[in-house]
Amino acid sequence: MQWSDFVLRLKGLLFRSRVEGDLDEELRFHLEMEARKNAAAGLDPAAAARQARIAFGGAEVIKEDCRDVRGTRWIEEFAQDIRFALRMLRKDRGYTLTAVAALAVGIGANTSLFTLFAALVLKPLPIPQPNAVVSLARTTAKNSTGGFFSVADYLYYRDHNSVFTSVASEMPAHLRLAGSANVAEPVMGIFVSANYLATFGVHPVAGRDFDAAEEQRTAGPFPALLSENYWRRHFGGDRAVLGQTLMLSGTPVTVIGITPLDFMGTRPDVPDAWILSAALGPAARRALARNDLSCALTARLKPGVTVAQAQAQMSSLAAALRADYPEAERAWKVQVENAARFGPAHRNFVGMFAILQVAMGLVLLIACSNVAGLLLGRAVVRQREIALRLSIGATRGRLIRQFLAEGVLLAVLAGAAAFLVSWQALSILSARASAMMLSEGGTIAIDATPDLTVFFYILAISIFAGISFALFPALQATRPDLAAALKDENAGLGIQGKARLRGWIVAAQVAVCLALLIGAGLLTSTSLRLLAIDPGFETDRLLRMTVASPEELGYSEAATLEFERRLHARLRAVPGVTSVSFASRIPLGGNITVTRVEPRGEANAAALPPFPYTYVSREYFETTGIPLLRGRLFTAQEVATNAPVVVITEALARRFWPSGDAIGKRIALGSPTEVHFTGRRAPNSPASEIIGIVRDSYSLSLLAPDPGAVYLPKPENEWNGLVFLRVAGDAKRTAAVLIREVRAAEARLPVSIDPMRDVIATGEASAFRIAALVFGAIGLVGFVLAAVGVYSMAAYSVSRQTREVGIRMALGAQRRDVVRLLLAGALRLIGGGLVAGATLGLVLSRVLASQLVRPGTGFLDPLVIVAISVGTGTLALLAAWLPVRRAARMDPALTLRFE
Amino acid sequence: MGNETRIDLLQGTLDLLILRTLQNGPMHGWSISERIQQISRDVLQVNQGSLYPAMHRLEHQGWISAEWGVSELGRRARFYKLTAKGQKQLEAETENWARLSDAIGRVLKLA
Repeated sequence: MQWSDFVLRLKGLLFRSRVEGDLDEELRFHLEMEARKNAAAGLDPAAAARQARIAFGGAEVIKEDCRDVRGTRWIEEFAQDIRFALRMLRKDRGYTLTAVAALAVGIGANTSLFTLFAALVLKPLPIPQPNAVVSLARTTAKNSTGGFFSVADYLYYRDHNSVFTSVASEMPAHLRLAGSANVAEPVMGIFVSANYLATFGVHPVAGRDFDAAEEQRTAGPFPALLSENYWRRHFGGDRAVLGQTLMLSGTPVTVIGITPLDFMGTRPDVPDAWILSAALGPAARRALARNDLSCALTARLKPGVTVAQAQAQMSSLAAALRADYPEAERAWKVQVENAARFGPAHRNFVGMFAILQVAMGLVLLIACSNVAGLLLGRAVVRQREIALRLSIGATRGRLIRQFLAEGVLLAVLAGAAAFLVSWQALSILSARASAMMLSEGGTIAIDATPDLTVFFYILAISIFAGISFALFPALQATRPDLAAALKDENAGLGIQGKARLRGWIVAAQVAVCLALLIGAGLLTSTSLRLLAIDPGFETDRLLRMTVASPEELGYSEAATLEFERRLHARLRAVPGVTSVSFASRIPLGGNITVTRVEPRGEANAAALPPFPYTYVSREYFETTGIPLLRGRLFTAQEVATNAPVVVITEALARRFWPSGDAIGKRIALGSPTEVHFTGRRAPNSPASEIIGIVRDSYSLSLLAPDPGAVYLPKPENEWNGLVFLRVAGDAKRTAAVLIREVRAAEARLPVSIDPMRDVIATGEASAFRIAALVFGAIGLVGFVLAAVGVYSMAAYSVSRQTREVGIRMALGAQRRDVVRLLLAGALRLIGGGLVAGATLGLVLSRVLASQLVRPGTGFLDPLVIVAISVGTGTLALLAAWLPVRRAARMDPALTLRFE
Repeated sequence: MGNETRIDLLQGTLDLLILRTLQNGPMHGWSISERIQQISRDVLQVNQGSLYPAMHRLEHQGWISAEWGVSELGRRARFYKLTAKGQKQLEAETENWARLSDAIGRVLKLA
């Protein structure tokens, strides 16, 4: 570009009025000179001036051409278009508000979701060279998403590879920390190898890292790190905690350092504490349990080594391991994956986000089509104005640009509103995300400030939406038959086509929101149905109480058991309590313990899956109301001597002995090498006698009864903090009394008590409830938008037919006939939308069902689908009926003069 | 006036004429158009509708510059002046024109 050109253009833009004035004066001067010349030739002054003007031609055209040279015209026109669009939007406030609100919801919902997605999945780990960090996953033919390793696997891969600078292991656990406050509180702890922080390239912000030599430690206190999040929250960032010894679920640990704020490894949440895995016992001993798959592995690639090279070596190592330990290793493979962005913990979100993103995308679609419908309606109203402007010389391009300016302005306004909306929504969402993310109890650290990526995402959506919903009406509206349009606005070409298009849009809106509502309905009905299932044990009159171990407060083992006896006596004595018992796990409470179960003397037992086991006290079946079908329950003698006896469920009996009686048969439980963390005793018995068979119940999942389960007598010499109480009368009041009793026995112990019904409701069913809520909210927003669409379409078509209605009524048509006539079109559209929506809803539900429930579980409920379709259809009809009723009530004489 | 003897200017030749006219010194728009008409003995009629946009275009190219001055009759007028760059452009275009008219002349004579 020429310098002179640039300067002149800039001058034209900045000092527009002066440049225009100059041009005016220059042309006036020319005219004057011309007139003077003509006068000199003998014309009288008036004729001379007139002649000059004739010779000169249209001054405005010349000025336009000069402005074109300036090249700033498009900017000036753009400013004009924006000013005009603003004026139009201000004039039509209702229309503007509806359109902006619809778009803001659509864009806002998408923005929130995308921000959350970016915060959780797209952001790389905040560590040095995040791309060198890989996660190792153990895959089988059945489970390709990756699983944990045994300690033996970990040691093997750590010591035999040449591609990693370090391989770290981690093992999450729910623990209780007894700190200075003397109240043991639940913490999210992770047992890690000494090289854990080094693998991530992270250093403690205070104190020191683990020392490799500490891995050999066999006695406590074991070294532990606290996360800065937890340190700030619970110790106020006090450095005095460094070097202190704390009791962590009965194991003494020394705080040696603090990990950086929000450091969470490859996990979705920030743990509270990182404990050296030596606390679980010597690695060599733990390595004996080849079936105990509990280690998640993360490694850092050596410089220059690619993921593919690492994968090749790990595959050959895994093959070698399979040869050495064919029994335990079977068909397992190792998968090496970049963990920088997409840690194994994040993978689960992707499917969920995909489903949500589709739903949100549909809402944006509804919003855009709604705005397109509104713009189309306005374009029809403005037909005459547009025709007029075209006939006096406006170009089509210019008019289209004006429509576009209106659309873009709307979208930008809505985008700005959406930005504010999503900012607010995100702070609420991220606070609630813990429930949705199945956090294991740590701190959820989501940076939910919309970042630049997100901002551009919004901007792109806004502009795209603006242009797409403004372009079509613009093209349509600027192609009228000029003469016809000027004569009578109803005769303009394309009106029929526009009405039809608008009808399609409305039908599509009805379809989309119906599909979403059906999804929400089915999710709700599933969650209600799950809660209504009889799980095979009492839920209303059963209380679950958890009491922390007094060992965490420093009680000796003997004092703990003495405390347990005292506590139980107190609980039994509470009026209203009819039965008290203990168990090692809560049915449907989420904690699942499984072990190997093999019938003795049966061939081909290798392919058996592990079955859940529960240690129970003698009264457990009475308390929970699980009936004994055959045989007998444990005797006091058997409990006292830890006798090898078991009670099994009928499903297990049927499975092992389909034709014979299971009573008196023997089964092998667990394996001699299985070792678990303190307080979790794993069964280990070569031949336990089956003494009783109880009815099946749902203890793993509400979606299906257990495939078989084993009950073992709970040893008397072990603390058990999980108490079940059967109550008669007011459960709430009894619960309050029970809490007081525990406090009276030991005030410092954390205790909680809940009806079993609540425990179940917060489990699986809540996932369905949350999903139903999300879909319901999206569907409702969609429905409101669609209703607005139906209403405005009906109002528009009624306004077009007002004269016809007037004539018909003047000729004696009944109000009923008129209503029928006016509603007929809307009915067809709504009907079509309903059919399409129900079909789409069925497809959507099938996808949902495949993600959420096992095949064969009743998920599709025809009653729900029909009820929601009818409800949506009725409300949509109502929206169409309102303007029709108004028209039918009009005075015929008035409607004839309507134009 | 004898319109039938007038010739519409070829595309692009107006620029050349304006530049050549301004070689004699600064002038305002009206006198440029008068001068072209006079010298061409009224054969070339300059259309005002293209004169002013053309002069603005030349100004944007940096070949002429404009400033306000006082006309011979004591009135404020916008005077255009050839710049050094414009002088070079004029020489190049004059040569082009000579070659073009020479070539067309030959074809008309000999073809």
